[in-house]
Amino acid sequence: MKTAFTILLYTFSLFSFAQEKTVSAVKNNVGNTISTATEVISITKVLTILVVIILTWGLMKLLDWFFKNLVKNFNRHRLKILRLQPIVKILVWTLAVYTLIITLFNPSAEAIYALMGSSALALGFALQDIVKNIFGGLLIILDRPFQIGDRINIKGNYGEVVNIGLRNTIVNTLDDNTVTIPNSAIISDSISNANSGALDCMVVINLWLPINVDVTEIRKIVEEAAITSRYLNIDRPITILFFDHFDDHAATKVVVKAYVLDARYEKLFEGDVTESSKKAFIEAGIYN
Amino acid sequence: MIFLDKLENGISFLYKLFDIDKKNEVSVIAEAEEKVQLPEEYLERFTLYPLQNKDFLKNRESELKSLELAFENWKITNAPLLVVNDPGEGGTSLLHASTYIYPTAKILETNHAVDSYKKLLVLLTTVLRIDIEFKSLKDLEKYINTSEDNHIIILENIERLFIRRIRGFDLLEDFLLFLHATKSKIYWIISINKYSFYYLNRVKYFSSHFSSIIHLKPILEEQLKAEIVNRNDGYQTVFLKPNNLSKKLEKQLKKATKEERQVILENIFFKKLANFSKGNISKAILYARNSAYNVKEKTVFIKPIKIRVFDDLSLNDLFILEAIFQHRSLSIKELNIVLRNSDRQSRLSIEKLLEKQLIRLTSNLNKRIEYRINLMYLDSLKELLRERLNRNFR
Repeated sequence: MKTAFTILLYTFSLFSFAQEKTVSAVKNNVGNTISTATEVISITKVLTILVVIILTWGLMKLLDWFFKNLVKNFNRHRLKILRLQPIVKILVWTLAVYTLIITLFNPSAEAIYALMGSSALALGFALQDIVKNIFGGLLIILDRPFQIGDRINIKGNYGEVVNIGLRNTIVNTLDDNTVTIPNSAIISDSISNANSGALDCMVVINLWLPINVDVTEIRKIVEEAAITSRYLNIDRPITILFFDHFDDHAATKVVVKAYVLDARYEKLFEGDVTESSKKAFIEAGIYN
Repeated sequence: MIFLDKLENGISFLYKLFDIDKKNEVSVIAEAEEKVQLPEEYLERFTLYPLQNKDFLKNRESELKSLELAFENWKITNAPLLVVNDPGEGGTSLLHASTYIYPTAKILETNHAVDSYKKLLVLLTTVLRIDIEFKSLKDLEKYINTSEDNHIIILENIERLFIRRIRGFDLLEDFLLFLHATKSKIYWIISINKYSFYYLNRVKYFSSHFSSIIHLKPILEEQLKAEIVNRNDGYQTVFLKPNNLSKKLEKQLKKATKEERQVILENIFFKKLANFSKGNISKAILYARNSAYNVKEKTVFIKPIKIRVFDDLSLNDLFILEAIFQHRSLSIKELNIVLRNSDRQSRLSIEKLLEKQLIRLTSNLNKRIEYRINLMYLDSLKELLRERLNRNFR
């Protein structure tokens, strides 16, 4: 009985001692966690994050405004200026992310390697489409198959590139529709670029005429319709070609290849030349 | 008040910075500056007119030598001569003064549009003093080539022989054929506006028709200064401080004595004049006239004017200005043809440009109203066309 009592007493004291130890350990743990948490999420750090985000956002807006004004004031160099815009913006974002990581975690080289390894794995699985797009965006910026302001045709969408983002590229079509194309889709597809960084671009105008027309007269009319158009880039050559077609109805196709002074006026130029040519054809009795 | 102003400025700066459109429309009614009426006697000194005599022509020695040489060359090669000049640069004065080289030269001024073969034939037969009526240029060409006489014709402003429309170049092209066909009998001296030359050169390879071309050089700064000083002769000149002066110059002026101050301000004025005129004598004279702030008895107060910058011109305005540049001057009817505009559309645009003083009205002998580029804005508008219309014009 005495032995049993001693064992019970011993067990109880051991238990109460263990309980006391657990409580103090928990207390310690909680204390440590709180101190670590306050170290990680201090007011200074929260403020730093806010300041960096606000500054980055402000800087982005400032850059947009700056580039917009530059483009307005130096229209002749519009495309060269716009070319710089995505590069500068990506640099700003990279700098902001770098500042945040360094300020918040101040990671060691090993931690960075570990983070990179694990992120690569995680990104590889979970964010593969986004990563594909981001790398696509970087490739577009580095490889430059087109730039902002270029007139491109991709996946049947023809229009002006208005933005090259990290994830996607925005094209404004001739019908004023905004088409957002993922960068990954762009790099895996063929792209036709009408002006390749130049302000002007070649416009091909097709005119259909009866088969028995006097080509000398037609050449004169069409050439003068192009050289008198206000939208013509007079510093570039004009080519006029004739083709005979005998498909359904026999017809002469006149192809005028001329450069518009600014790619933005492409359709206006085409319309102007077509309209004036048609009027002259009617005056000359070629059209009835 | 100052604080409120600063706050307002700060807010508008932030709006601009972040590209936020303000909802309210900003009223921009600038206070009209009352211009002191200057005496006619003084203003007359700054009238623009072409010189007729070589002795009054300054700083054109090399051009005159080129003209002499070109004439000697014609005697061997029969090559016609082309003189390319900007409005106000003194092209007319040079050609008129050059008649000492060829005293029998006849001057044919085409100040108005020559838009038909009939008009051109009348002009040519009048200048050649031929009383026969010709049906075509070919007939006149035959007549000239069979006659014994040689002629020298100075044809000014050849750009008035074309109009930018389909078939609008026929007359000019036929005239060039006529020029080539008659060049052994007639020494042709042709002048053309710089911008028309640029356009015609690009679309019709105009320069290839001329083996001798003279481009007028800008007049030297000292010569321009002498010209203006000469026009102010008899008046005591007092130079006033321009409105926008750098802090450095302000400090310099504060430290200077009254005489030194005048020297500094005179230098500033002539530097601004040279920068503005870029060697164009007419522009320099206009600048000096517009800078005359007031005239009291025999003292003229000169304050350098500030040249306005136009960045609010629409694409349509620029096309109109370019059309006028290409033809030297245009009437409303011609403008409708060139730009394929309706009459109302052209009138509205022209009124807007007149209001901004970018163009000015001229009327020719037939009292036909035409519009010309205001010389005061010649270079700034060219720069604008270069920048906004992607024109490779120098």
